[in-house]
Amino acid sequence: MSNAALRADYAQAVEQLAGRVLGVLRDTQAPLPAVSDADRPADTAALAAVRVLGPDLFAPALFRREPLPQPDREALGSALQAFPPHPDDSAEARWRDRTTAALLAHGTNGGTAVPYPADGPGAFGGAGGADAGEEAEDAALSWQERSRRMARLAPLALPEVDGPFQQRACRHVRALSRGAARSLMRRDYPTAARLVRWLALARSRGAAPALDLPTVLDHLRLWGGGGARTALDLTIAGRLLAGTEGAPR
Amino acid sequence: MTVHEPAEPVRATMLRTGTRALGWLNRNRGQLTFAGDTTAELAEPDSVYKPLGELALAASLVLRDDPFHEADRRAARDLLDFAWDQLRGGDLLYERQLRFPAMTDPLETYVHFHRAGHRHEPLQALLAHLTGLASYREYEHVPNRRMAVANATRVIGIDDRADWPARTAATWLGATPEPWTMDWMTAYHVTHTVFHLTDWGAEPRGLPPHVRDYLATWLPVWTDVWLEIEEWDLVAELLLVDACLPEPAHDPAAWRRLAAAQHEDGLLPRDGRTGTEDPAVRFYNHYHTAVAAVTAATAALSRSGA
Repeated sequence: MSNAALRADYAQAVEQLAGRVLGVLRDTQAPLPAVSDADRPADTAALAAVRVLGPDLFAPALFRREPLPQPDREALGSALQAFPPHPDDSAEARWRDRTTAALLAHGTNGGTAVPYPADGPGAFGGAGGADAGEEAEDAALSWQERSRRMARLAPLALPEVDGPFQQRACRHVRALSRGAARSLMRRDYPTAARLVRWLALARSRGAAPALDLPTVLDHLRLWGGGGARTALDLTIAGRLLAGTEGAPR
Repeated sequence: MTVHEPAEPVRATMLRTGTRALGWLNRNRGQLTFAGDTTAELAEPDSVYKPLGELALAASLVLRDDPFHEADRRAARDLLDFAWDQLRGGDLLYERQLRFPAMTDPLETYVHFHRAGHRHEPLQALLAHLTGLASYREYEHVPNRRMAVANATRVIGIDDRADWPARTAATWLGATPEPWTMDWMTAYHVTHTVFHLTDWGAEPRGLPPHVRDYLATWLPVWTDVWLEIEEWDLVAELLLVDACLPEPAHDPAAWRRLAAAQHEDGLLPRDGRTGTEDPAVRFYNHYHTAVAAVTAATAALSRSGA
């Protein structure tokens, strides 16, 4: 299979899984889990999709303040075992996987056996955090660089999850607002949706984005295209905003 | 992470871009010559008349802000005097204003010559009368052009009766709209609202605080977007807007990219698509970008300190 065909396969698997998580998130009556026993991912593309969405699989449970169903837990465990940490992983992939691992470990007896540090940074204010070098590098980012990085880390924008990136989102709402406006002007709606998701998280934690988020969300729902992953980002952003306004979550 | 290569100071980039654009305008000014039988009716006002006014704007700001070297100052004076001669020492403006009392373009053109010391007393008397008329002040221009009339009125020393807050509120920028809805045409409306509110960078405090804060947040985004698609004319105008802010950013990367688009002879293409080869249309297609680059460099240098 060519690289292009592989990428298309992965992208399709991500869209399918995002659609399933979205279905659970939207229909409050639908039973969890997102990854059902019947269609548990078996092939590599499906496992890769589980890894890529990672923390997003927790979204329905986190909004309901319920534990993650066991089938989802097992699917995530399998994905992290199939894709152990690799020196070539991007910083963003590392943080995403560590956050997944930390979420998996949370609230379980002894955690789930995955090849990632269970007390990894990025979730629940865990013991780990960004080291000084990483903080210095982050502080020097332009608004464009910060927006690119945070767009790739959008699955970390979830309720109840805290760590360096969630705190940076709150500190740098102007940079992320600029990034979202830039993406909207360039009609790059997937990136805009990811940044708006971060801004909604920051708003839910008391920060004041420079954009009127409900208006931007409306616009993205109408113009953003039919992608399930973008729809998932927008739905999570909407739920975060609804929580901000005191609505039931 | 941005890779910080050794780069010339941004002031050097501004100076080089601005003076080369000025030199190019001055060397090619002969393209803007009226036919011998031209009357004040001006069948095609955009062909020579409007560009002459824009040349005069750029030259008058160089003379007002004095950011370049002495030779460039002389070039600006030459350019201004050339345009004034073409307008027959202001007689053409006077005749046009007499012929069309409702039109405001004679005032909007005259102001640049007035700024640089030229006077036409009969025209000045007409304008003192006309700007006292509600009809003239309230001519149904787009809102930012009404501000052009108001600014020109105050610059030529006539009692300015404009309600500036109301005029500002009537513009797109005055409403500080959703910044991501910005488009190319709106961007030009925004730049001109800022130019007139601040008299081309002379009065940064002319920007109301909410407009100032809005621009400080969103101008970098708009500049980034139009840099990416090589809309050099608009980029130059946006850099001029930056120079009109109370705290300009003087983004070195944006200035460097604009400078990199400039040809050896000083021509600055208006965008990355329009050809620059055909000598017959070369000047007309690109003169406005040179005007914008001269004014942006002038304002930016005069506001960035030594």
